[in-house]
Order: sequence, then structure tokens, then C-alpha cells
Amino acid sequence: MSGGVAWPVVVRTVHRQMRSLVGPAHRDLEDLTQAALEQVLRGLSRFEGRAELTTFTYRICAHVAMSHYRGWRRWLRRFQFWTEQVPEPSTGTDVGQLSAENERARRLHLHLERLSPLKRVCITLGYFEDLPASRIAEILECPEPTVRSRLRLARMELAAMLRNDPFFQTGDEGSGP
Amino acid sequence: MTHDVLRRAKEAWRASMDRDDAFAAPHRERRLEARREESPRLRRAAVVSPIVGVALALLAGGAMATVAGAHWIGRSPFGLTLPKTGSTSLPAPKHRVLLERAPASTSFPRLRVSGAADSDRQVESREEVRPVAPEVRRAPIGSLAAATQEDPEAVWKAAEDALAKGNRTAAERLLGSLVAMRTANGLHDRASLSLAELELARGEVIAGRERLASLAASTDPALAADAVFLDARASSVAERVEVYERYLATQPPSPFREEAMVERARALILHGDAAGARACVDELHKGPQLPSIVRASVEDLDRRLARQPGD
Repeated sequence: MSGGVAWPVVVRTVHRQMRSLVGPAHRDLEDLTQAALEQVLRGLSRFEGRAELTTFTYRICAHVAMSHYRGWRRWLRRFQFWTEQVPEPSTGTDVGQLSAENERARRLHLHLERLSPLKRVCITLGYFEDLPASRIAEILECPEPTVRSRLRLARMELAAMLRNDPFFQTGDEGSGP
Repeated sequence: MTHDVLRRAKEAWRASMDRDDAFAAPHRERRLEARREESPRLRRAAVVSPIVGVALALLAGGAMATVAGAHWIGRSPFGLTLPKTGSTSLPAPKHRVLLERAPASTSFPRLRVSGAADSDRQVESREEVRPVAPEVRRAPIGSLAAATQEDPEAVWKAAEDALAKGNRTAAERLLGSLVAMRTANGLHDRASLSLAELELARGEVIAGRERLASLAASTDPALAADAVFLDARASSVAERVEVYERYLATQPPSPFREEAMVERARALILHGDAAGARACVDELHKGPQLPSIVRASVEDLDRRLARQPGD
């Protein structure tokens, strides 16, 4: 590996970054990570060290993920899949119901998939990963005010979706099955 | 309200990442590392990718034109009809394809499945339809169990197939036989946990909880934690506190220990014991570093306890 960075370290970094962007349960996570790794391998010779390596890899991951979202969203719009609708929670006693945490995480990623690619990346990096807006602007190569406005809009859109989802409504937990 | 739902979303997001870190991520990373050696695509990426890119663009353009043309004349070139059994032999691809009976979700982003649960379903795809589940064995599940009585792996596989098909009775029978085999390769505990889940789902709370209590001493810490948390959820509030106390007495590893302490504090609050919950949270704060999986929960507990009247 050029620059003295070990291959496992690059794999781990790119994998973690891509997983943040598309979610751990995404069926194409491994393929998207490999696509990003290919681009990282090709681009390492051009990497000048002016930014952090993780910013460089994050930029590639974000581009790969956004291309994937955009392609998928075009496909969904063309054929009107009903996968854009988040399924209603099942009623009655079920094995799956016993794992509310897993179900909540699954539904969160479904809601995130309904956001536009840029908003999704902004809220993932800015809210869930706690990256500052300046670094997100560097990763996405866009002005910082754009990042801030997309982040604000993404938060509002996501909150509106989550408010209608019973798995995210607040209230004391504790009732058994 | 907005803040609350977003906070909850962040908590769920972190939990999903932590769980992935604990279970799936290391295996995925090993596979990705190995792909560099195995994958000619990756090794030759720098040389062939421009050629492949152009070829793929041409192919994709052609495919989209085909789809658009087919829709223009009112018929899909990729329409396939699946029989009720859920499997079919496709004319073009030579492999068999099994599709899940559940309604389509985002796990099938390139696939459209339509039709009622008990009728033939229409599947449309612009790509080759890929198998999403292993092929179902043709033999009846009961006889399969008899035939594979000596092979725990086969029985486990048959039980999973039965669960995938929604046949809980058969799954319970198979899991029961697997538990009775007393295998030493970890299948016994996994089967026991699945069996307990099925029993709880059936309303057999006492039997299910007894099974879960025995799993709390499993050598697999993740499985033991799953059993304890499930046992606690199936209990009343008072019993829940005891379940977590018993579990914590076994000195479970992190982050299961911290997760159990958080859940115990929550149960104590519900039980009206704010002082006990506060002591539990204080103990969590005393630790060297909180695992990220419980950080948001501990902050939530801090806020809830601050609203509680003083001791």
C-alpha cells in the first residue's frame, strides 16, 4: 500500500465509512465498499496529503453512496415501487416484536432512504456521526452554508417521518410481551 | 418532540452500529480484505475499469431501452409468475429462485413482487433474479427430521427453513429434537433460544422463561445476553429487576454488563425505586468509559432521574 498505510486499515476505514452512509443492513454494503476501495486504490497516487486520509476516503465513499442512491431513486420513480412506504408494525405477539431495538434501527434506515442523497449524507455525517459542518463541506466539496441548510432540512424531514412512526414516539417503555 | 424523536433515532443508529461492530463487521472486513487477493476485478481495476465502465454503460443503455420499449408496447419482457410454493424454474437463468413470502421491502431494491400472500405472485426485474434465500428442501419437514436425526446441522437448517416458511409447529419440533441431542458445537444453545422465542410467542411464558433462565449461563456471552434481555421483557417489572440482578452477579463482559445495568435502572424507575436507579446510574458513571451503545441511554436516564423527586 502506498504511503505506508496498511491494506487492512484502509479496508476497515472505508468499510466503516460506507456502513455509516448506507447502514449496516444494506444488502449492497459489501459491493459498495469494494467499489469505494477500488476508487481509493486508484486515487491514492493522486492523494497529496493536504487533507486527512479519512476525509479523502469519506469523499469517495460519499460519492459512491450518492451515485447508488441516485440510481436507485431514479429506478423507484420510474416504476413506482411501493418500497418507499415504510411498513406498518406487525400487531400481536410475534418473535420479531421482541426485538424492538433491531426493528427501530431497521425502520430508521428505511426512513433515511427516503431522503434525497445529499440530505441523507449530510444528516448521516452531521447528526449521526457528529462531524462538524466544515469537515462535511470538505468531504462533499460544497460550501459550508449549503451543508448547514441541507442538514437543517434533513433534520426537519426526518423528524416529520419519525413522528408518524410508532417505534420512535416517546413515552415510558416497559410493558412486556 | 422533534428533539426527542431525533434523539431516539440517534440512539437506534448507534445501537445498530454497535451491534454490527460486535457481530457482523469483523467477518465482513475479513471478507473484504480477502477480496483483494481473490477478486480479479479489484486486482485489475486500474487497467480494465475504464473498458468495463464503457461496456457497462452501453449494456445499461441497451437494457433500459429494452425495458422502455417493452413498456411502450404494454408488456414486460421480464415478467415471471411464481407458483404458491414460492419457488420456480426460470426459463432463462438455469438456477432455481426462491422468493420470500413476506411483502416486498427495501431489501429487494431491484425487484418488484406483487400479488396476495396466498396467490401466485408476479415478479418483475430488470436484472437476473437472484436467490434471496436458500432453496427449500422438497422432502416433508417431519421426514427430513427423521432422515437427518444424526446430523445437527441439517436439523438446524431444516428448522430455519420451517421458520422461513412460517411453519412454527414444525420448527418447534425440529428445535426440540436438536435441543435433545445435546450437541456441543453451540447449536444446542442457539436452538434452545429459538425454541424459547417460539414458546413465548405461543404464550407458553413459563416454559419459555425456564429455558431462557438456563441459557443465562451459556458460554456464548452474546447469546446469554439475548436470553436474559428476552427473559426480562417477558417478566413483570419486579421480576425484571431480579433477572438483571442475577445476570449482573455472573460478571458478564462489556458492553452486555452496561446494557443490563441500564435496563435494570429503567426497571427500577418503573418499579418506583428512584434511589436504586440513581445508584445504578452512578455506578455506570464510575466505570472507566461508557460503551457508545449505552451512552445515549445513560443520558436519558440522567434526565429522567433529574425529574424525579429527591430521596
